[in-house]
Amino acid sequence: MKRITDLMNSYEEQGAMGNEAALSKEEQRRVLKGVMLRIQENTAPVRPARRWSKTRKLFAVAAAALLVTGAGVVAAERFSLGDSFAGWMGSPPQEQIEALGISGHPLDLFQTAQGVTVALQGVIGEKNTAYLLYDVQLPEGQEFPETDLYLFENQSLMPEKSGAYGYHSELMSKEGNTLHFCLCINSWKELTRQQVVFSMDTLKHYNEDTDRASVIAEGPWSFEFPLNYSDTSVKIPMKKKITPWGEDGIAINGIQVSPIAVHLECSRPVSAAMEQESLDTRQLMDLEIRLCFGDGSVIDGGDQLSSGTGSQMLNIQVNRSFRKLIDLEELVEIQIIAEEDGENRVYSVPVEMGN
Amino acid sequence: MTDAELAAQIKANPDQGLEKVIALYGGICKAVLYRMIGPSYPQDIEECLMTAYYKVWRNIGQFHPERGTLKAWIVRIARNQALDWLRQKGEDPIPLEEDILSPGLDLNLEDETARRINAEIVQQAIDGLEEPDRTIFIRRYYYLEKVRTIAEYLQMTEKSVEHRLARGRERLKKQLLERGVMLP
Repeated sequence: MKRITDLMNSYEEQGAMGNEAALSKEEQRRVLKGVMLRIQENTAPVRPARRWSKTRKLFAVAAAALLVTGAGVVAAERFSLGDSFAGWMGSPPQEQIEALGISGHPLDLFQTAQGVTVALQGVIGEKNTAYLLYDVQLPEGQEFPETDLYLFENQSLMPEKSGAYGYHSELMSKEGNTLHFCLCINSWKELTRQQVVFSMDTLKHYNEDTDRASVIAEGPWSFEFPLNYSDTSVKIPMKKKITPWGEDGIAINGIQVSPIAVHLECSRPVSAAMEQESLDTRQLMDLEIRLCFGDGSVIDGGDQLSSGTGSQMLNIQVNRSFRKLIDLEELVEIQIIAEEDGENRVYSVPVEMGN
Repeated sequence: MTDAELAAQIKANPDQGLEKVIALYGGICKAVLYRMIGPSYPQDIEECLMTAYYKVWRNIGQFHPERGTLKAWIVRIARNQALDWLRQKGEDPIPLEEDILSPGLDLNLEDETARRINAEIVQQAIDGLEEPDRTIFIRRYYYLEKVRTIAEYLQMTEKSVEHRLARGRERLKKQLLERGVMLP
């Protein structure tokens, strides 16, 4: 049911309420400054698509390089995601965690530099999103500082065929002398089976009180490995394309969903592509995806872990991953919430996984 | 400078384009925000004004001069910003039972053509109201003012304001049913 207050949005008020005074020069200057600041804050690069999550606890600063003293590779049959990952994802049911572990790929790669070990546990992922689980372990008897604000100098992850891509690390938990991290990758190109290089330099701890960082472990560490997990994403049949910003705007032609992410395949008309490439992708960055389940529960923007938007000619891809696992069997509806003229509009795509 | 030229400047050179539209329409946007949010939140009003103009920049690709003026489009964004602010604050100034035009009556706003037709009907229906009914309707449903405030301003009883609002709602509903594009 439409509310009159919403309906009045289309009403063009003719100034019947009296003359509105213009803003003073000082007000105009202040407002413009505030707007430009918002534009700067929200202008994320389109290539590579990279967005930081709200709870980011790890970031890179300057460069440094030191010694790598050891490396090893151990194959394993099954990948245990462990309690840290389960807790970080909001403790989903055990069977969901196990299912992810089966489709994941164990790495068991480790390197030790000056007594500090960085160990890659494994990767889980799908077509355009992957999680790399890794630990940092201090020598026996040593402990990390109390507050959880760490930074690696020059952390990077490079797929061999990247296209547009972005990544960020998050601290999942701390157990004694071990930090458990998850690195989340979003990519335009398919990640499955790609070879990647993961590297980072000195690990530091940032003290908010003194505003200084102190060295915990000196790197560099560098690993090269394939993303050999099984892609369990499925394509949702769409009866018609969705055009959130009218026929002249961007059309959503397909949706792909997996236990960890949702991926929209979009396109735009040639005229729009010529005229407003950057604007269109900016709108897509704020597109909210809400997943509705049979039991009435939802996963929405508040649960979002990362987002990425990449464009190439007429095609645009939008990725969203969440801090909750998506139960594909229970998924009944995907809602795409687009802001048009400052108003949210909801487009619904029913899901029938059984068919 | 035409609306299309202004829009093009906001796209190509946001700093200069926004400076112009803030000078032109910042006053009316602030007035709308002030009326809807109230005088107790001057800082929030300015924040909303900044966010509204940020959305103008972000959504400028959606502005089409043939569908209306740039001023109306910008004011609409400011009004929506105020609505968002009110809803985030948990304040719903108009009770749902009064705000719903008619249970079971829905408007097809998904389709662009239908949206345009319905918007024209809303405009005509409200502009066709006699004074002071029109002013009362706009103050209540556009600016979300309290019935008591409107009554005091027009030196009427609250009952009289409510009666005129009901009459306006009926007229709007009738015209939408007769001429509008509805969902079944």
